[in-house]
Amino acid sequence: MRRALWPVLLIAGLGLLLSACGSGGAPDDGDDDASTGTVRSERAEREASIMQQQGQVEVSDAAEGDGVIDFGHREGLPYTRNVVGDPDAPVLIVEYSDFQ
Amino acid sequence: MIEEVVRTGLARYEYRHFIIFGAVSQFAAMATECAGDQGAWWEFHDAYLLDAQARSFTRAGAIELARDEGLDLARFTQCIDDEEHRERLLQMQIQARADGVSGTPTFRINGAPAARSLSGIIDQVQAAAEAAETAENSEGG
Repeated sequence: MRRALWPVLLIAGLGLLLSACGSGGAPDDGDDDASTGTVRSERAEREASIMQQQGQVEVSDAAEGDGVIDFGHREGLPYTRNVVGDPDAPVLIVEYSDFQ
Repeated sequence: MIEEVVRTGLARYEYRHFIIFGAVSQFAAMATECAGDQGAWWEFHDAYLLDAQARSFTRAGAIELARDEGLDLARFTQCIDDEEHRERLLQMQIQARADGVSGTPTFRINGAPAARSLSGIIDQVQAAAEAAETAENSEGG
């Protein structure tokens, strides 16, 4: 019985080792390394695809940094992180966008 | 749109990152989320939208922006270096796909595709608000 477990443990160990190699490494210095970004982007795409298949589609609203905006054309409006306006408003407008 | 439907209390507005321009965009989104941890989400949002020369799209530029906003730089730097909001950005990307988003900007009103014009969006929001009110009244008896 114990002998039969060895191949399983060996494969699991190799899997963990490969996983650690794939996700490790020093943190990026953030200075626009396009090739690193591509790799990250591809990894994110794969993970997104897996999570989507698993039905884990959900965006949580972190409730950090809420208050009232004190500048610009939104001045005086309440906000919670990336959401602005009355939290009890009946309609939600979502904008998907990219800064560039 | 803010004046017509958000300030009037009909709607709340949520910005979600939909990254289509790769690493630089992803970095800007991450920096904005890290700024959000310290209450400066909208300051960064506006700064990035207005940054035509893309100076703040680098690590050094983002830190300079954080300094200008009076943020805790050690905390901010650690957040961007550790990509602390990677999961949150990923979830937004997943939700965008679920919503059928393929380009930017894309608007959704209570989950439905938005009209193309501002006047169309205002009409749509008003109709959605009325529908919500009607539903609430009918539920209440």
